[in-house]
Amino acid sequence: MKDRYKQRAYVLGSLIVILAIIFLGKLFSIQVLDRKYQDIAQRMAVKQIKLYPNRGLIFDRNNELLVYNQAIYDIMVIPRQVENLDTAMFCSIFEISKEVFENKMATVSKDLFYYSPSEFIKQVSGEKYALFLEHSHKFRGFYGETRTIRNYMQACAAHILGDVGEVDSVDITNSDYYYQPRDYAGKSGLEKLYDDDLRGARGYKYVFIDKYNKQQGSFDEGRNDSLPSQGANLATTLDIKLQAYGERLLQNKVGSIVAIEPQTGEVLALVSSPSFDPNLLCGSERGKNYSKLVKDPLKPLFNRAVMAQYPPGSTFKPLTAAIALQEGAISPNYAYTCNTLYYIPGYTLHCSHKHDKTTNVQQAIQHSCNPYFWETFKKTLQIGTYKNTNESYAKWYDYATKFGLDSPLGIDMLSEKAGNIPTPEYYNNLYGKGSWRAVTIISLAIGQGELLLTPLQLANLYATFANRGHYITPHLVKTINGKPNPKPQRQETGIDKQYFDVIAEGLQMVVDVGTGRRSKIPKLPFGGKTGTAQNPFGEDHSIFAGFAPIDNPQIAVAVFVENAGGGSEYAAPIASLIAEMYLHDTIAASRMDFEQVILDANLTEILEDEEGEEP
Amino acid sequence: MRSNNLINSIDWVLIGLYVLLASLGLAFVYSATYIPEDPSFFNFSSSYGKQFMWLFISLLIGMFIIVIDYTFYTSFAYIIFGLIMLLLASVLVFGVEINGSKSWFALGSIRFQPAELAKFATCLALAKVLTGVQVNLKTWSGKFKALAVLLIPIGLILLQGDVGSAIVFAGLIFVLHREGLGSGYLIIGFGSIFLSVMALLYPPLVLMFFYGLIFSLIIYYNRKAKHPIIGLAGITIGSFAYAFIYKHHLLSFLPLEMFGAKFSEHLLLLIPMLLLIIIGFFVFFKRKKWLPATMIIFLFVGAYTFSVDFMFNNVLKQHHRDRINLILGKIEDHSGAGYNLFQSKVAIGSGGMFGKGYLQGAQTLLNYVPEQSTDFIFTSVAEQFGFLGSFLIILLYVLLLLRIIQVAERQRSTLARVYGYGVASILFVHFAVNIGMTIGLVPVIGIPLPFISYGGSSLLSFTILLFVLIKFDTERLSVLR
Repeated sequence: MKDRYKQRAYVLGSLIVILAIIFLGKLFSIQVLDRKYQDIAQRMAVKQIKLYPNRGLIFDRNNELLVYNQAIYDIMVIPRQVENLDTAMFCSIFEISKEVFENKMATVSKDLFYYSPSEFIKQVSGEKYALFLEHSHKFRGFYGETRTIRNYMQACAAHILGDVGEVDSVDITNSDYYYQPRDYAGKSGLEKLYDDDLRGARGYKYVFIDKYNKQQGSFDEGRNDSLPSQGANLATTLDIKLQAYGERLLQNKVGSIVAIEPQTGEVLALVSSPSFDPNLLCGSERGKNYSKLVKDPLKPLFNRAVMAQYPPGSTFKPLTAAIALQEGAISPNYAYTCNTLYYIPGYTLHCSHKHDKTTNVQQAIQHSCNPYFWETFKKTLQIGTYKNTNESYAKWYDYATKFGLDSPLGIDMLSEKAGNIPTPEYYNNLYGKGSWRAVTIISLAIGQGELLLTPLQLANLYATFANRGHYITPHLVKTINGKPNPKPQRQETGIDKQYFDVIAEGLQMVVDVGTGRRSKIPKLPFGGKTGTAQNPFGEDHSIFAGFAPIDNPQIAVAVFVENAGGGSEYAAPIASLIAEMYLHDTIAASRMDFEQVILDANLTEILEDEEGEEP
Repeated sequence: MRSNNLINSIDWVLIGLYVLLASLGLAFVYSATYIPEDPSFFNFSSSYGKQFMWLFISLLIGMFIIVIDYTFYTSFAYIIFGLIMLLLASVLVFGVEINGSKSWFALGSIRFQPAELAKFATCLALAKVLTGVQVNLKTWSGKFKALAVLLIPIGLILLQGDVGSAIVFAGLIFVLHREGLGSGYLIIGFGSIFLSVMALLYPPLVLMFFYGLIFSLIIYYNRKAKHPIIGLAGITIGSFAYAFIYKHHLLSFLPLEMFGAKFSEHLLLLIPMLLLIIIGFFVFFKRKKWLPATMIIFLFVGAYTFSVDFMFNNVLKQHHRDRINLILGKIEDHSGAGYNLFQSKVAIGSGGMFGKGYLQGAQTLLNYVPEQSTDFIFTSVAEQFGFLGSFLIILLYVLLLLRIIQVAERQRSTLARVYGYGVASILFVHFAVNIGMTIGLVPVIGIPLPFISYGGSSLLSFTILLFVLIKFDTERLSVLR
């Protein structure tokens, strides 16, 4: 039989050949012509792994460790790879409810996240992680990523040290995109200000990863890898013992202590009360604790030492005298008889108390005589050197600014506030040019009126007195990785040393026989000035500033205690205890009871009650 | 003397190609399952070890097939077919479900897919049916008999949910065509594939205007257009041309933007519509004679186009739609439904001209491509050996397929020829679909690459399929019944 359809064999035959040609054409196009797939393959199979350096450690001035790193673990998940999960055990290890688990799972499984690693549980402790690892075969699709968080040796200096937290979009932009989402960076305090030094440099490792995101050996034999370099260690100027003691003294009180080493400008203690345990802002509870602190009516996050502005009151009087002496408005032996009354046109002012005759500046400081300083101030602004009050006040203002009182001092703390010394222009605007006199602004003489200082500025003012006429910009970081932190400039005030000797003598008399005599320290020549800031909202603020020892000052200290009454009641005792503790390393047995009274005093109860009563 | 004859009459070209492909397959399976940390070369629990064992068993069975008398296959063709159809039916009851299809028997760690053996049985039964004296594919009874042999396995396999394997049997249409089935069927088959693709790529209305235009032109200019096939050919060529113009915005030189983006879309429809009206007008008055027949075909084409569109949107499931849209390039997806294809293309593309070297394919070693030792084994070949390797594999398949056709054609008996053609058709569909899907020319359909993909039942079944042909070929001078 003849096969009629023999040539139909060519149909299948030619189809085979045509298809082979089409296949080869397509293969040639994707394998040889199109280079895209080579790039994709490389990007897909090679993963850049960030190697995080250890963040620099922070020490105090005596090399005591303050801040260190602790390993914690983020539990990551790739939802696509999750199978045969023991949900009950997972929830019990991490102490979460099934609903929370399912909600989280739903969130990380959305769209393309289903295929990529997502954070599932943040900052898990080593113990929980060990438990997780032990049962990891029951949690396929989950894995841990090592992170480091900060830990604080002592529950103090929270405002200074600051904290470290996960970056937000602002941090990322500000870091010039050095930071990437999920990185940790300094968020406040020294951690933020010295972040560039502390963070070190990241290293990178390039590895092959398989489709399960598992590492499978290094790419290109590790030729492109780099090691991380450790962050720089900071040595601060803080004396952590003193800082902790200061915080104890201010416990249950609202206020601030600033202690400075006058010769160097090194800040020994910078206490703002109420404070909080810096460890609260580490780890997984950070957000919760943070909002709790924000809501606290006593505002523990507010760093009063550099941000709160108070009228300095009588603690300002020595400066009034110093300027008058330098300007020649008075001599050190200027005497003024105070009969408790002081007349200015239209008003009669009063001295705060009856006291002996003041025959010189020292006695005026000792008695804190208001009329004496009003008169001194008036004389300063009325001496014939200047054309008018405006000009003489401009000169006075100039002195004040040389003490760094009208601008931030430039301490290495973010958010430092300036005090307020009114400028001549301010008065021109307020009263009209030429229509204000010395008596108009007479309250400046005794640290009132528009005058405002921060605790740091007051401490620095007294450090300047201690140095007899100059100060070094106060600072908190001594060395970075052993190298000196660029030294702040020595600032001159233009007032002669001899006048400061007079003032120092007066300040010592305050403590020895004057308003601050309760705070006399055995075997330590200590000088300072009490002050009281009138507080329209309640009890006066108690203020004291001073330094010790008088002739070779090692420490200048300023203390503000809010709503605590006169300067001699709380501020002076606290300042004396700080000075004694710093210089003698202990409190004399005779003053133990005195110390205990201060420690036990609770001034916040009243405050909280009062605030509670307000409508 | 007889054994000497046997050895001389064996087609060593086929044997050689088989051994070459199967041993390359073994090497590829080794590389696709290779773990650098644990390069144990010989281990019967590894995929490679198992495949080696299966190849050994396959060779033994191959030898056995050649040694026993050919009348075993011819006499027992229907019995073999019946038994295997029973297996196909019983797998629906006793089988285990893997990847959504219940098509496997499991005996401990060994799994077997009867659908693989069904390919051999169906070829044999089809050959036997078409050998019948009164069977003529021109007649309806002949067509029904042939169709019955095809539809039994296709139906059973579809019931298992294994669409891929069922499609393979559709390839046997080449056998029927070779044995006298009208060319129209083949053309309608391919034509409907083209129409489907067009219907999926373009809005049906655009296509209808366009098909109408083509029909009219053909009728008007081709006075000898007696056969609808020429019309269908015209549609195919013309639709490609217009699709090309439409897709690549070749009409963008026309200042259509001034009418707004939406309007310019409509204008593109308007052009063929106007032409259709004009030419339709001439057709109506000058070629009235051809009008009724052409209108009927046109209506069929239209109904088909709209029904494809309807089926696609209303009958198919979303994952089917995704697969088809991926192939058509309508959607791009690297992680969901498109993950396999994307990874496959990346692995193949990254092979470059010469490949990354044996056991050096990063994508393969890192297990990016799913099923890389079974259905997607071609990707690991293309990655490791580049375009040259792909070329060599394709060349080997082309040689094998052409040789099988050649062997089939030299048979004196219809049975052996039909059987040989069946082998060629089945291997061709496997080759076309498997390689086509790895490079994105065909939707992802999970069927193995013959002789190369890892898997015992597929290797064994393809071996039986091929060696029975080789056995028949040794008897080519006698007329088999």
